[in-house]
Amino acid sequence: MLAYVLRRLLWMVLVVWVITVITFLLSHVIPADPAAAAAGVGATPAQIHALTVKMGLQHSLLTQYADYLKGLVFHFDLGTSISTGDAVRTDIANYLPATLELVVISFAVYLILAVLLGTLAARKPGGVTDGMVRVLAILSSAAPVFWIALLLQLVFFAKLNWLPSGGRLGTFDTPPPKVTGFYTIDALIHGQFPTFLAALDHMIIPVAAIVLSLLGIGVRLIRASVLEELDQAYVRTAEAKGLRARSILVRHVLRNALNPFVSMSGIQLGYLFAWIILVETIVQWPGIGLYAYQSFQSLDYNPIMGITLVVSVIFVVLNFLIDLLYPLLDPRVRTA
Amino acid sequence: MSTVAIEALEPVEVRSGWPRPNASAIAGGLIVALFVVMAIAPGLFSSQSITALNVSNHFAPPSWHHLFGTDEVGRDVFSRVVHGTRYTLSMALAIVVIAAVIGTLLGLLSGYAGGWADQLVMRITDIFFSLPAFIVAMAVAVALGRGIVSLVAALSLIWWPTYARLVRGMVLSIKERPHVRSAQALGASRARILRRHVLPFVQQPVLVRATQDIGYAVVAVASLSFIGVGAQPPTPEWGLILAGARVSVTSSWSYVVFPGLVIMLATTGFALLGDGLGGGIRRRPAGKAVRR
Repeated sequence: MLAYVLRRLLWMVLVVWVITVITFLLSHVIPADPAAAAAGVGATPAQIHALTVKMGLQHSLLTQYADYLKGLVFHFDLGTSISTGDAVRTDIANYLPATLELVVISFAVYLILAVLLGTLAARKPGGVTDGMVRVLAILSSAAPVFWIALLLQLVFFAKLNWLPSGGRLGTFDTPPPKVTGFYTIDALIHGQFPTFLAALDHMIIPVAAIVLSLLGIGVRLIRASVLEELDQAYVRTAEAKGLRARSILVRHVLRNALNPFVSMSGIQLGYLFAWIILVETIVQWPGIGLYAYQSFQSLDYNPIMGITLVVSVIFVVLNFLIDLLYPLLDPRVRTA
Repeated sequence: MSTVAIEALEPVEVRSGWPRPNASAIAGGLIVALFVVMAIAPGLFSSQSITALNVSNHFAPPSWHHLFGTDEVGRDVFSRVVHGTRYTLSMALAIVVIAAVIGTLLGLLSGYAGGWADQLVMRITDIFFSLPAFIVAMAVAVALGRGIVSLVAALSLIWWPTYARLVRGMVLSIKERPHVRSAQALGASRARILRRHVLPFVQQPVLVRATQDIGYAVVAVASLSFIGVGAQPPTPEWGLILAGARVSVTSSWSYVVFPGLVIMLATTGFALLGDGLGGGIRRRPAGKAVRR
């Protein structure tokens, strides 16, 4: 087990190193004039020259990379954003809680719905739930997430006016004092119930869009693995012992059927941090996705590379944690 | 016919030969054919200009003259979607072809040669699979200068490893087959064996995968263009059309709904065709029949 953990840890370090090489190449080598690219559109030659010196572009590539890595490792230095004028590190720290709140809540809803719907569909294959789940799965895998979000906005904001179009809170709401950075939790901690409701209200569209687009894969996987497990001999044994169907399903079958789902959803969670940009852009959710979108528009290099780095590291660490979780859930993997 | 018996014992099943025409392949084929015609000859479907502005007629609802309504400057949305097929589809096609060719070549090399070449290629693919592809593609596309070519380069860069893995897995099993062994014994060159005796078995699964991937590539292309990293205005690329619809969500429902439906139809078409070409039913493992 220890050798396994160490191997995964080493791999994680290697991949993170490769990511720094990629972001370095993308920001220092590929643009014809990296200083001009970093200075942004409409910079004067003097500004570009100053940046050339500041970025150390007159040095050799290896020296530049060494400096880049040193800054990253010791100061987590991601450069400065031209649009906001702040250190990218600070910007990301400000924007990340909003993204995390959206991700955590969406993913919790997704996990519950996937297990519930997948199991229900598997219990009566060919039944009404199964049919509905199948249609949902097809739709959710063919429709781009940004279009799902747009449709929700069209129906629930533009047509029915039941939900706000975007943002984390309404124009006249004040954010709760920061404790966790999650508006919902912070509002509850300070007993601001109306703020809590407003925060929830603003989450419905983005959460629904994210959940709908994840659900297709998850439900199909759970349905398939529950069906497969129901066919196993231990289920017949349990039935022969006279256990109730519900207890067999929940305590025996689901326990085993969830293993492939755990590793799958871990990967989905990692990818979510990347494509959440699409959802945040549509509902103007002030997270790192919207920050990335704004940086694309203004060709603001440092934030783009900073976000790439941070999201990649989150992705790699999540994969590592899932790799650790897997042997805990499935004893058969432990010896492998 | 002794090879049949030997094949049955092999760990990885690699079949050759195309399946019979099935509902999935036919439906998918028809949808794909429609989009191909649309890409080649958009004039057949729409004679209206895609650039002519008619600001006084902006956000017109769907009508016989404007099937999908008009956009914020009065351009016909249906025509823009029809003409956009060419951009979105050719980008998706280019990405998948580049990725499939590079991936197949590296997979052949990796699986057949083995040794350090195999190790190298497989570790590189491992690293790619450990990265969040979408965000890396965005960063690459921006660094290369936003645009159609950058987008294609960025997405094919992250897409080839899946093909390398797929092909390598098949080659590992094919190269142990009697006909390859015989060719080796006869002294055929490595290039000839790969081309004549291995590649034909790899072709079909790669084509099936590529067909399905075109649908996913359509979504990827549209997504990246939607956030401003891919095609640039006024290209009528599908994602860009929806980016225009995003800011018009309170003004026109048809502008939001129809272009998205078209993307869905395209994705579904390629998925169905891919499934059909792959034999359709094979996805459900035999013997896992429904119980109770």
